[in-house]
Amino acid sequence: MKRFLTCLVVLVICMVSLFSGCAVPHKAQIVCPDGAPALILSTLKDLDVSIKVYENSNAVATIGAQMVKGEVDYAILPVSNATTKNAQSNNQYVMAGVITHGNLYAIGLEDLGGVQNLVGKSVGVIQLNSVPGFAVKKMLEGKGIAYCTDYAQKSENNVYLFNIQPAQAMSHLSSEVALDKKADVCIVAEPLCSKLVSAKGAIVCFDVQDEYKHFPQAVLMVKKSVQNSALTTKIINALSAFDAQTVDVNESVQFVQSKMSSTTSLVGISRNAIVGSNVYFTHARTCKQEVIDYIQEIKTFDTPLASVAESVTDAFFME
Amino acid sequence: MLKKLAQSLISTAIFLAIILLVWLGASLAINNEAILPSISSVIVKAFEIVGKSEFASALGATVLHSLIGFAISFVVGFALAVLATRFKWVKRVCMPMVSAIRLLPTMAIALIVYLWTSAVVAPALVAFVVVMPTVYSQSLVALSSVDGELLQMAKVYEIKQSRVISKIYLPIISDALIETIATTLSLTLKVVIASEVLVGSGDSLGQLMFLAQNTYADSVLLFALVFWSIVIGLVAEWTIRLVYFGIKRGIYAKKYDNK
Repeated sequence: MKRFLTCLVVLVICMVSLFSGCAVPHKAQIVCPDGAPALILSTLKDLDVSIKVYENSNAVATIGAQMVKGEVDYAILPVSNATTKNAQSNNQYVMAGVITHGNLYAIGLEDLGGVQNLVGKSVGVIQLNSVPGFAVKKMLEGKGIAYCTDYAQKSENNVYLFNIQPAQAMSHLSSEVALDKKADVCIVAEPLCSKLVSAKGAIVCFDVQDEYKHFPQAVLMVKKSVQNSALTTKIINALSAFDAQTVDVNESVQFVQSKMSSTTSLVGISRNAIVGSNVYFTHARTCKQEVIDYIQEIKTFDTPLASVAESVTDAFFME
Repeated sequence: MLKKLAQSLISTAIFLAIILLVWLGASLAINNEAILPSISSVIVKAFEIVGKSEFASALGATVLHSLIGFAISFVVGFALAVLATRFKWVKRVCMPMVSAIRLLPTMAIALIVYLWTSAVVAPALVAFVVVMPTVYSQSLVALSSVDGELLQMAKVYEIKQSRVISKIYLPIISDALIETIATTLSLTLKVVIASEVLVGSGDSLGQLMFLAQNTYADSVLLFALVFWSIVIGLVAEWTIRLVYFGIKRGIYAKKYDNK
């Protein structure tokens, strides 16, 4: 009996050791918020990677939390959040490259005739106190145009900026709103901009990127443990091959739709919207300094309460 | 009254203790400040931000929005309840109207109202939509509990209306009214913060919470702001109850001395 039990125990130990390496194979996961950055994901359709697109207003926070826990191998999120979340994850990730390079546009009901003509006007800005707002403020500062965010301070010599919800841009452009909510121009992001132009009769007054610069927006973060894997190389190669001018728009949109958890319909995304989203992959090697400079620039918006981004060093970037 | 107050204080304290214990357990288990900050780091951050002018002005703005929203809700809700008690037709008109207001989707209202009003008025109006029906219903219940025969007697003896209010209505409805004020005041604060997040009221606690989550990606700051919103809600609620208790006790003591 004793011998039988010993054999049984040995057998169990052997079986456990033998199959311990046979756990369900881990499938690499890439997470991304909806909007412009997600449009590039169709290039990964043939790769063995699980893709999830978050479409709610907490998408970036959800992805950030997954990064902090080290749950995902690849994450796409705004560079400012990426720096902070990477620091909170004990630097488990590196930045592989920039995916979107600014997708902000000024729309109005009539032609503005140049950015200088913004002086004395009201401008509704999506997320005024976040990255889009920073870009607009930096653009105005760069052109020597004064701005205020308090309607009481609005004058003929400055630009009045106020926060708007993306879906309400057209309402702010109409005259049927309160004086401090009436916008002469609204700053919105693609793909919404193209929708408003094609379906609501808005006019693109200017491209914020042309007037400010093509700034690093969404970036691809790769877990250090997989940065040298063959899959990472394949993903980077696939993303680099994305060309907004030639991509199959329907296929791209349907692919994103299939990776979203809800049934939100991505209607009205045109080639103009994809091109205007400035989606193209730039490897960290070539955009490292641009990202470092941008982070330093937006850090001027740090408040005594918190910082808008963590400063980064060379270690933040994938070689 | 004192016993009821003490019981209420004890149950609040027990509830807070349970919440803190769950929080402590969860933060120890997760062990990641960015996901669930520890109690100590949130408390430290909460007291760290108190001295900052950005926090003070945001808090002041939110308290102002809440007080405006509460004042409008209370005046309208209570006035409608008084009229509904007095006139049957007002009650009939108010019933569907209050139900309709109660059913209005708060978030949609916040977005629409923001277009027409200022960042100060929009959260206050949203609070009105949520709080006024509650004030109306609870005030109506309190006013309806006044004995009809007692009012009939006051009418027969031609007692002045001011004495009917101070000697019959107030003693009967005051407990319920104060409880309504205490609970709806903290409810107003909650609703105002939610609408501030949505409409992006430039300088407010709600907007700071939004920025903490989305722009600063700072969970500790977010929790510290939540901590202060809970503290302010509780302080407001309990100040009202305790002041009322003090006044009531003073009145009884005066009556006892006179005897």
